[in-house]
Amino acid sequence: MLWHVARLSFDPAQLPPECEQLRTRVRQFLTEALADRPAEARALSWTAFDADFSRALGEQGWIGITYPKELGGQDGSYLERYVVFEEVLAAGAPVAAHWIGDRQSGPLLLRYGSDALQRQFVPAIARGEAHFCIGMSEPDSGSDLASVRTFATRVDGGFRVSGTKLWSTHVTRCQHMIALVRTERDPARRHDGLSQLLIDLDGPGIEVRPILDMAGHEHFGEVHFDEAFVPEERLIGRPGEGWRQVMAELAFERSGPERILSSFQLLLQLVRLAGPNPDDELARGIGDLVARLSTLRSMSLSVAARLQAGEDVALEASVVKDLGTGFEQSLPDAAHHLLGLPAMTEGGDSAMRVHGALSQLAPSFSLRGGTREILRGIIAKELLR
Amino acid sequence: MSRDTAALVERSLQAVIGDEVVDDARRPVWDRLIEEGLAHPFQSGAEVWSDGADVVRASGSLAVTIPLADNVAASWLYAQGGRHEPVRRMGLVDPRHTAVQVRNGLAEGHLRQVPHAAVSSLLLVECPEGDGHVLWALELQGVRAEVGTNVGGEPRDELRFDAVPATRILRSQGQWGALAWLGALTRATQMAGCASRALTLCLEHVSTREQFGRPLSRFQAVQQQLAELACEVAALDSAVGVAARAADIASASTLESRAGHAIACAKLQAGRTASTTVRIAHQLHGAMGFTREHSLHGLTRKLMAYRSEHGSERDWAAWLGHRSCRAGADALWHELSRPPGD
Repeated sequence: MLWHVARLSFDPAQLPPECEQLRTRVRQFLTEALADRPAEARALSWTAFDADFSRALGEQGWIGITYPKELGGQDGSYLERYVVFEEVLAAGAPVAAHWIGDRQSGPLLLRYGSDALQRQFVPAIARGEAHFCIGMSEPDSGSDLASVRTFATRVDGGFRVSGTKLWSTHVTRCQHMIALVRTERDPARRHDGLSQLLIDLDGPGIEVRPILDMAGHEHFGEVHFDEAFVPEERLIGRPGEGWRQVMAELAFERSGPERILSSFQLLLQLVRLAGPNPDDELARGIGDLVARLSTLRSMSLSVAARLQAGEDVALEASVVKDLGTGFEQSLPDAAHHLLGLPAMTEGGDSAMRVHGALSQLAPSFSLRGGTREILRGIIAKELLR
Repeated sequence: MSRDTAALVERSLQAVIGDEVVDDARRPVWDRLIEEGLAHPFQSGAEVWSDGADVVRASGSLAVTIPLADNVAASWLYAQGGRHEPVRRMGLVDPRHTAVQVRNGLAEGHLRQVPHAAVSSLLLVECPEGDGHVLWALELQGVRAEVGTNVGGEPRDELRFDAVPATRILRSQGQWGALAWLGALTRATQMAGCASRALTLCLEHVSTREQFGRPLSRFQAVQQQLAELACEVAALDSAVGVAARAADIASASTLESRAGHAIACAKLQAGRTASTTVRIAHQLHGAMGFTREHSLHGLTRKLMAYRSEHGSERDWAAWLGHRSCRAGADALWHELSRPPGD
């Protein structure tokens, strides 16, 4: 009973017993570590930055689980990683300080980085101490990523980088950026001549500025590079291979449970407010959301299991992200339609503040990591191939 | 079972049913379905639902108009009641449309939405008894039917009777009984077949049909619709697969406790996928898909029919929502993350 339609397949996956034991330990740790964390803070989930929490999680060995032991990892499976990811998200833990590094910078370095780069950065990521951000978008390059214009000129011993990177999450608090830059000015094909550089953000010629998001939080920002020097050894992979590497990196970004659980704190509030005996209308609204989340989780878990089996799951990961972000965005609407719950930023009660936080965060869900339109274009083209 | 097995099942079913529309269940097609192991696709004595799910899904993708899926489900229920011999032409009656009482082996009452009543050898019905449900097999030969047809083109008759032979098959626990759960899973599985075939037709159509000098597939507006459709179709396959695995580790009497959550999710997703599929598949096919001649309607009409059978989204969302609320917010994540059957 293994079904597929038009190359899409979501075989049901089951977690091995050791994963369930791991889940119990993670849950116990989170219960204590987050005991005082209010609901509206939990609602920010993977956009909340807390270096202390990340370090504590790293001490448990729960960052970089799939990394090799000699580089600070656990030689663990993608399924163990999945369990830790979904437990911290479901609990609303502040994971932003390590999330990008754990999820994509570390795996990128392990796949393409030199031995020296790996030794220097991967163990620090796994300890929760190295905070990474992504340098892809620019003022004139959003969905059309191949149009980036930040230029890295070859100089003695490295590169001089000039240009602007935009929308980098928590850029004011991160020490490092992995930036997609142009190393060849007029290549025959626009996807050629791009490279990835690991850049320390505290050096000369680099100016970092926060941008307030619509909720008024310093959640992302911009970086200006003015002839900033980056040593040769900070080149990741091969020069001119940046596009291929970045596509692989984005695949890491699309498959995880953060694409289905971003609004989970609001679902918890709905169930809490409904109480044990809601009327049928409210029960239906909640049942519908629970079913949707349950199915999305099965799909997401199936992707993790196939990742573990070494299969190419880029298409399935895109499907989960498109469906998942749609679900996440439907929760503030559901809170409004089912309960008429006011969305507050201060005062009110904690459910109203959770609603307020997520109402303002939700529009970003189908923008970050590739817009819905780009994602659907990828899905359609893959299916038509 | 492997991926190839599912494709094999579909091919052998196609070979038996043929391309023509079969709407007379008395034809020798049932003998061949039994010979080919399609009417009773189980290992006798070790009936695992997943083995039958391939046939049920294929009956959806081929838009089969005889009650094959019901018969497969009835076979599984029969086996759960200790009856392992192949059965043929058996139908399932939705407990929501069942008002029957059984005394001394004779049943009286009223059934609505009865699938294929005229050609069924036996009908399975489920009645509350004490704190559980009893599954009965009714012999309804000779009972006059008020004829009805659902939008999928399948007979859904109304029957009244005051003394027909009834055989007790099994008893199950829970708010809903074994037939209710397996009926919902059966329809959801058929719908997964219908929807996946509709997606395949869409992919073929937009690749070959040209307008403005290029294939429809080159238009971004078309691509966006295709992707939305594919996502919902994939979600249904996933939900139905998960529910089937949950049913595999349940028995008839524990279907609700071990597989109820997964089956409710599957039928809810089936309803959602049906809406999306009907909307997008017809939009992409244009006027051609709206003709009787085109095969698309065979799939979309069944989706529109099946979504309200054996519990609509309305029914299962209420069941799931009440259950989640009773368990409470503190238990919600545990409920969502626990292994199936746990």
